[in-house]
Amino acid sequence: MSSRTTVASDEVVAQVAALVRNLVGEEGTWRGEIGPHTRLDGDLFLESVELAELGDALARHYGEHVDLTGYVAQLSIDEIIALTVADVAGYVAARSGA
Amino acid sequence: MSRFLVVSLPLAGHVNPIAAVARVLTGRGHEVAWAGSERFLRPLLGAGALIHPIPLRAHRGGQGELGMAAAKSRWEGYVVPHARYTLRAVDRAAADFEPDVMLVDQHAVAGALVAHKRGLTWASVAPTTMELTRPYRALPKVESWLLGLLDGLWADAGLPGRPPHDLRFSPHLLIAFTGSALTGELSWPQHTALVGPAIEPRPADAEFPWDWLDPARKHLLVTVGTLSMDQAENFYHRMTSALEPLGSKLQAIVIAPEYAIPDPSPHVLVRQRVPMLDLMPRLDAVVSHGGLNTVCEALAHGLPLVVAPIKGDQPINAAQVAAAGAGVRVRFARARPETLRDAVLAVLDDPSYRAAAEAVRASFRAAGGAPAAADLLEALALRTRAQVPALNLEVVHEGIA
Repeated sequence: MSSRTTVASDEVVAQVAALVRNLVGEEGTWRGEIGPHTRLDGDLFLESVELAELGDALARHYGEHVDLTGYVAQLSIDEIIALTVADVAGYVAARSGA
Repeated sequence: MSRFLVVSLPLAGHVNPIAAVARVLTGRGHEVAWAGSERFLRPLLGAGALIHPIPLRAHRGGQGELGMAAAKSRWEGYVVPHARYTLRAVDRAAADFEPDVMLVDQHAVAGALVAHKRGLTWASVAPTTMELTRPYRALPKVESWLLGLLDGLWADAGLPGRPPHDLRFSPHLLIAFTGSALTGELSWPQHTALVGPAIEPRPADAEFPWDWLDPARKHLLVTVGTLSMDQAENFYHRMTSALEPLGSKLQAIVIAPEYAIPDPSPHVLVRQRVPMLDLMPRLDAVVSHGGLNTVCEALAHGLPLVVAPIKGDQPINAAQVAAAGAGVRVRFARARPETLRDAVLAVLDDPSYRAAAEAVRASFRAAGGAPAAADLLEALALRTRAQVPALNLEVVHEGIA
């Protein structure tokens, strides 16, 4: 999305994708499909509870100032629908300097 | 005697609980009229109901999508066009019927607009929990998008300025068919009444094979609403795999078209419809997609649930069931057969789920159901007829902020 200028390194994208995979977890057939372009709402239909869990995991991994819930709260409905793993990684990179 | 005009949507899950309240009101000698489709409402309401007709029109929104896309589609593709399309007919119904009080479904915004336009007292009714807890309150831009749509409808209806409050919430009364044992402690708008489920009596089903039920085994009902072909094939396949090894322990009744589950195991009965309320007392647990009516009917019978939410208010209801300890939430689209089986066995074998469901049942009983809703509506109508000012809009607005 245009409003986000920070592009995360491949490593951060891979880490975020792994955290998302852990979250939706157990279900084998989905594991391989999660990549930078996977949309959290539009493809995975993550619910607010799950988004909060992902936020907790990101904060544990990258530090408390990574606040996914606060970040998503600033987005419009179309931005939330379009939000990808790469977008989240971009936000993480901007906040954590990773 | 008072007069009540109901404005809802042509969706059975919305109409049924309101119809239960209407039945109590007419039983007490009040007059109830409905503004809506004759063809849709008549079979649900019966021959005696008074209907101010609004022809059915298909709106494309709210069907296939999931997640936030479903919210966008529900409002932009359904709630808003439906409000626009029905506004004039609802207004005519109000002019003809001259109600003391309007009952307005939270998703039937035309009713709120007409009540404001005509200065009528009105009650909001929440047959789903979609708007009730304002699930987007933590997403300010989403909430303002939604309020912007209501602003647009207000202006299009020729009303001046902006709505004085969130039109999903009447300042006079909000009736919701759930209970605090399920929703948890939330800060409700003023004048909110959680009355518990309002359950309509339904006709008996002479064809249901009651003899099939083996008293030596436990009984599970699986009902996940109407699914698209893709969803159905996928979910029922996983569900039947989950149940496959449990035949010595349980029998499952699955509400689905017969073609969705070809060659079911002997311990699985597939029926297009079942006599739900007669069946409930024979069950030990329910697997549901989390529609509020099914969830509340199960809990009103003290039955624990496995909830696999798909969209709309279902994730909200699923989270509430899990938080109340009355069931297990699984992922509809992704749960593997092993996960589904573990969830079913948990609610059947761990008595804590049953105990929590029983606690919710007790709170529903205390909440009073349809008669309690009718009490509140009668009192509101009496206040209106006595022309006692009922509220302060500013205070109410703060109450839901």
